[in-house]
Amino acid sequence: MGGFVGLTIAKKALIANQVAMETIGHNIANANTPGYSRQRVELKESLPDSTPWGAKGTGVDVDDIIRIRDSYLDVQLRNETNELGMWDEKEKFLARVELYFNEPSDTGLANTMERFWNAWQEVAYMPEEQTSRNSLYQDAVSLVTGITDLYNNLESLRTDADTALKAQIKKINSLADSIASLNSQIRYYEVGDATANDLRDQRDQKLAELADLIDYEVSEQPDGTVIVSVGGVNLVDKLDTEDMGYRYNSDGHLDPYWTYNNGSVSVSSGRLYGITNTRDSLIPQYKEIIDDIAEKIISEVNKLHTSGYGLSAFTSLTSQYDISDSTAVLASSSSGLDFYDEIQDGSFTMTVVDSSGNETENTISISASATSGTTLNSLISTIGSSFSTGIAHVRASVSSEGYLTIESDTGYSFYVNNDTSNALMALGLNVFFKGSGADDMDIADPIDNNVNNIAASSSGEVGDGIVALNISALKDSKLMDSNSATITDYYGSSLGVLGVAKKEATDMKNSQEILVTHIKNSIEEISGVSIDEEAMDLIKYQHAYAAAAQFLKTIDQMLDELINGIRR
Amino acid sequence: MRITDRMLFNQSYVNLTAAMDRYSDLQEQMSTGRKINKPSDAPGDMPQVISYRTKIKDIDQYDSNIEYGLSWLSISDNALANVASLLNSAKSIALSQASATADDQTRQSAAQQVDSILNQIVQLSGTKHGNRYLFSGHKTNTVPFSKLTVEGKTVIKYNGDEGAIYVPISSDINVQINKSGKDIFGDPETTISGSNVNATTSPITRDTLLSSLNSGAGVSAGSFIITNGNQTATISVTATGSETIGEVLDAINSAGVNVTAAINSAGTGIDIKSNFSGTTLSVQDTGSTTTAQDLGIVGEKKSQDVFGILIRLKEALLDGDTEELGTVSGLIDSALDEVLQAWVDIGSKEQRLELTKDRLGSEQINYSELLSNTEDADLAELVVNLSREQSLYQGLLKVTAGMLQPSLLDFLR
Repeated sequence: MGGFVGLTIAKKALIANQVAMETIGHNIANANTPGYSRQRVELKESLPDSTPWGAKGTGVDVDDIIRIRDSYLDVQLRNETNELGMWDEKEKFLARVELYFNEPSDTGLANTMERFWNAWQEVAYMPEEQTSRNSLYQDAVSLVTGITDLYNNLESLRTDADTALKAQIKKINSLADSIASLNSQIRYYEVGDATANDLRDQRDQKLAELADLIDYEVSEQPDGTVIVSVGGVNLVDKLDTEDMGYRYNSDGHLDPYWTYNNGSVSVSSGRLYGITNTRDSLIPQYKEIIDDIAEKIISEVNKLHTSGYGLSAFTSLTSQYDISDSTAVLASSSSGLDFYDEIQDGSFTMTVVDSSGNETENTISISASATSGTTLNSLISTIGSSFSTGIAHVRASVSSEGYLTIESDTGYSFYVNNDTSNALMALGLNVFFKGSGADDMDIADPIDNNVNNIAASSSGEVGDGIVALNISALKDSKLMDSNSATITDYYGSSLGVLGVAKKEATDMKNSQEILVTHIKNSIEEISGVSIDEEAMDLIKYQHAYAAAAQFLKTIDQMLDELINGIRR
Repeated sequence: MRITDRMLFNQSYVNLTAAMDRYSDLQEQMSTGRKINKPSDAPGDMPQVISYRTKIKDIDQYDSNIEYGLSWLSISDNALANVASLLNSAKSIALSQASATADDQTRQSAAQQVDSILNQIVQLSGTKHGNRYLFSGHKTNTVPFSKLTVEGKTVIKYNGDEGAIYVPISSDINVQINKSGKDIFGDPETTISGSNVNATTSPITRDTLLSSLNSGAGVSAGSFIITNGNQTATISVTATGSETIGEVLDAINSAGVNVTAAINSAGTGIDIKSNFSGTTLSVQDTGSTTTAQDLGIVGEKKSQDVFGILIRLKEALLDGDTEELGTVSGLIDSALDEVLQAWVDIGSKEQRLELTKDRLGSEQINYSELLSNTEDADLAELVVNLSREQSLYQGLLKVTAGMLQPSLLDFLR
């Protein structure tokens, strides 16, 4: 051995310092790679030789190349990213809900509703003026459009959520695949003693991306792979994955499910939950509010409207609500009427007018009795299915779609009103609105055709606007929240609820963002690449390398002297 | 603490976006002038904001309702002022022509004057607001009073009803702006209110048998004469025991003398009403029979409304009936009182609406102020904040730009 030991020491020094410098190069190269942890070469002294003079050093060895990472911070990052993802989705969707409500403004629903009620006031004292009737009609159209647009926009927001959900599920599946394949590579590399630094960085990065989407439990196995469990199901089980799919639920929207057993996916945080939670419980809450308001306006306005007379009598009038079973009691759900539960014992008046204006008043009794109550058929036979039967000069019939039509003989016309039974309101005869909620609310056909059919008069006289006056007073009636709030109050406080939800989402999102940034900085503080630090190390190893080279040269000269200088 | 390059970049990015966020928020407030632009800007204030906004809208509407009411009332006011002055002249005519200095000659020409006064008042009663008759109740498209000649006699017919037209002036107050012709000019339809017929079954209906009247004594057979102005009819009633009240009513109504017979609201007797003003309505038994008396309808009534009085005045002048002239001038006084009462009523309603209008004006200001306090941005504060954010942002930009500082590498050459 003798003099050649020095060569070996020099060689090992050169190699060690070169590896160190290459690692610095790797660090600098990845300074901006997301999820990259800086790496460090761990050097150690080689095993000493035992010599008669004691243990003699034999140089340096590269022990390991490690990545500098605090895995506890990764756990924290995943947890907070999870929350951030959820609140970010909620915030995004609620911001759009707010946008659709468009309040406070001069074009929001609050203003449209008020204009509608106020238009009735003008009809109340100018009932025969076409201008006041037309402006009421216009305001009613704006109200209907305002309500249905808002409702439909909220529903379309739920469809948008489905689209977002599809994209998220695709992303989750692809991330699961990546993690499984990284698992396989890591296991392969780490069979010996090595640590697959860069692969682990990549896997941590994928896990963080996954945490943005769903909440999961992760556990590392002795062979270096991980198991990712979502609500008890292993999304990634070492090298295998379970696919997540999406399918339509009973509500007509998409839900995630596990394709292998058709089980539902249980998540409680992350973007996926943010989307489904917003779609299934937040947005429906606001749709419900609009629907309640629409239903109240339709039923209350119609109840009053059916007590009045239009400017002209009808010659033909078709009900605005259809009946599914003409033998069923009108006041029972099997009649198929939307407002069947409003019908009570009472009566309405059918006044037949002949060509010279003589009126014959007929009172038609309505019974809500469950067993012997009025059915559509019994009502038709009371009115008569021909002009000569039942009430003279009018006849009633039902279409195949279940709509009741009342017609009068040539030269005759008729009014229906003074309804104490709500039967006219439930059937939609002489009503102002049709439909039963925000999705199908509209102006009733007779009024759509002719504003003179707006029944403002309580007596049939043209200057009588008492019914319109009563309808305009609805705006100050406490109709909502078990008769404790006016429609406007109810709407205003609902906006408050929306505001609170949106503000909470924004605040939570912002504070999560700060938290996540903070954790990312802590990770960066430990694992990030500092150019200055690397440059300093570079100098250090460069100097060591130069010195080792110089050492080699010296040994070389030594050997040269020994071999070539000592000649025979 | 280790600080890496990326930490610096990340931090600057976070700071820059946060600053931009605040800046854009302030800019939105600046451009709308409001600090509440969406519900989440101030969730707690939303109910008030919506309520103030709708209140302001409502006040606008009440204001325009009041405008309409005022224009209606002021036209009514003018018409009634003219009616009152015309009635005054009629009264002085009545007084002067009742005196000894008057003779047939002067009464003839006075009758002409009264006729013209009558025409003018009929015309005034037909005053319109736009296309709407003021005094027809709900029958706003029908002239309230029309002058007809029946059998050579001038009569007035009321075509309106007593429907009220209301104008809402606040959430719970509706003011009636119209007065019906009956309210102002008196009931033109003279009525003989029948006495109690003492039926064995009460109340009486159309089907009640005549034999059950007068505690079962019934109605004696015979005939009675109905006179309404120049129209006369004789109604005969037999007493076989099967006659009903309905048959008597129909017989009277179809007698062609423009009267309406009906059972009174209490169901105790029969009311007979003239359809015209300006006539004398009378029901008398013929000969010695007591049919009408048994039915409780014997009597004579003269018109006491404004038109009836004027017609009576004119007829008295033409007839030279000085006694009637005296009666009529007294009646003019009470009719004038009624017209004046209506006039005062309208005046005080005008005043009330004017006061409400003023009050709404100041309420409008109050609500606008409340809304502004809740909803509007404080411009001064906003400008200060905006310029602060602006300089902050510029400072941040400068710092970020300076971040590309030389590293150790730059010195290793």
